[in-house]
Amino acid sequence: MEIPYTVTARPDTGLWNAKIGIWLFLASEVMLFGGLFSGYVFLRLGVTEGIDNPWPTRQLIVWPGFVNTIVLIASSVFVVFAWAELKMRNFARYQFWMRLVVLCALVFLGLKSYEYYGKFTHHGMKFEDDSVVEGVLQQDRIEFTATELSLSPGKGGLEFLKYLKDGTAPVFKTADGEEVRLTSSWIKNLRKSSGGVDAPAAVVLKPAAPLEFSFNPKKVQAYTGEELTFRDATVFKGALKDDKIYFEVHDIDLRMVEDDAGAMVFSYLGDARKDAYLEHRDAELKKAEEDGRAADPYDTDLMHIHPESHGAAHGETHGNETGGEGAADGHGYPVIEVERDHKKFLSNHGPAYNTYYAIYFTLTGLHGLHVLIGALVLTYFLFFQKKLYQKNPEHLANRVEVGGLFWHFVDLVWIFLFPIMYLM
Amino acid sequence: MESTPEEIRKHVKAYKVVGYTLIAFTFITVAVAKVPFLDVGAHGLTGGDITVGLLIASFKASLVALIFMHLNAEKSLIYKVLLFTVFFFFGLMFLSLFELWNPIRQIFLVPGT
Repeated sequence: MEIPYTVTARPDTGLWNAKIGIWLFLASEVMLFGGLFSGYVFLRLGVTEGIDNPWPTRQLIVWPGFVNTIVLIASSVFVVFAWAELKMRNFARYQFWMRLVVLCALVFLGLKSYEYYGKFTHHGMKFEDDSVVEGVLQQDRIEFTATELSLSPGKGGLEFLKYLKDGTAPVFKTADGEEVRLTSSWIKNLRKSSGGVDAPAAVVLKPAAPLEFSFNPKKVQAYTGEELTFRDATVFKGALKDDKIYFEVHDIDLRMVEDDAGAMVFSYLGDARKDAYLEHRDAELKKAEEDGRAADPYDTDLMHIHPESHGAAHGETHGNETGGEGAADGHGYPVIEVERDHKKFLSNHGPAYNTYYAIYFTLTGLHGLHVLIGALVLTYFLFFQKKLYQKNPEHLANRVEVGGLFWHFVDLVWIFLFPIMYLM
Repeated sequence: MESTPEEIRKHVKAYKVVGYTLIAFTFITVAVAKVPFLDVGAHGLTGGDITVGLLIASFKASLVALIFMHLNAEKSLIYKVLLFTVFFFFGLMFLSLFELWNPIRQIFLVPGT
């Protein structure tokens, strides 16, 4: 059965079906993005100065967003050219413009992926006194040498084996002197023989040689110098080797610290960088006074400096075990070894980092998904609709117009996203 | 939008002009935010910068909607659909004003707590 009004207009509305359909769909899309933009405004207005962290303004690198804006605008022009060529019954030129549209979509998604990669490999750490360092996390592990482990068959599994530094399956001895290799079937048999999952008795195992573990801290329930409890209640006895956090500092931010000269971060970065920071701060305060404006703690320039460009020169400082000046790595950035209990929060610049990045990833991720879906639809029109063109060219022109309307909408959303996320 | 090939040829010229205008205004958006000489109001991000940025974005979005999406010459049913959309969109935007004016908090918050 032929669906009516796919090419010609309905007499009552003057519109063909898909045209009404796409506009109703776009209306729902406006509400979807509108809700998220409203959420953004709500979160941003809800920041309380002095209590919440300053809202990050102009933190993103502008050029990828700028290039992507140009790319999307160009693609919008190309898609309307493609539609116009179809209306003029020029299929080869339609294909040419549509290829450019798909290429633009790929460039956009490529650049967005590059930006996301940068965010996921860049980290921030907040100290107990609310001073913040940003840069690259080099190591965040709890290293432990185990000479004995106590496995609770009810709760315990073998997940801890993933954290063995040496990947080979170790051999253990039970208290009875029986030699065992830890496998899932061994655990199952143990559970059966000791009364199922509620079995309280722990099995003590000793490895043939001390085992070196490198645990993800999130998997560790508690630890001391001699004992470590894994998250499934397996207890390890032995010696703690290292639990420090190694962090390459690119940037420090003391806007939330009351006594910035006494900030915890300087016990790691050293006096030279502290003096450089204080000098920078005083210069910024003086500049603010000369400009006749109040010192605003939300001003990014005021208390947000790059340690490699101030004070201690590249490679001049060298770290020591007791928490002196951070050693400079090959890039000139200092690497600090932070005591774990000095850390308040540590994350990459993903959605968990702060509310700004949460809404940034939600909005740009949803927009990126629209670009991907739009590109797939237009690619389908490009490569698989020649037969339809030969049969009924106006029908294909209508389909491309509908796809194009969606594509323009995607461009329209980005026109607002770019200044809001990158420039404000 | 119903068009003959001759009319379409004329439209293509308009699309080109709009494309160049959009790109030019993208440069202006970045310049207003990044070049100190063009900075609106005090140094750094101010309400003035946000207003100018959003005004330019709204102008660009209008061009896309009116010319590329052919809203300058559409059938009345589409305008009716969009009228509802615009109404509810602004409703959504102003919902966030309750963050600034919260009658429940004003009534029940005990001073000094």
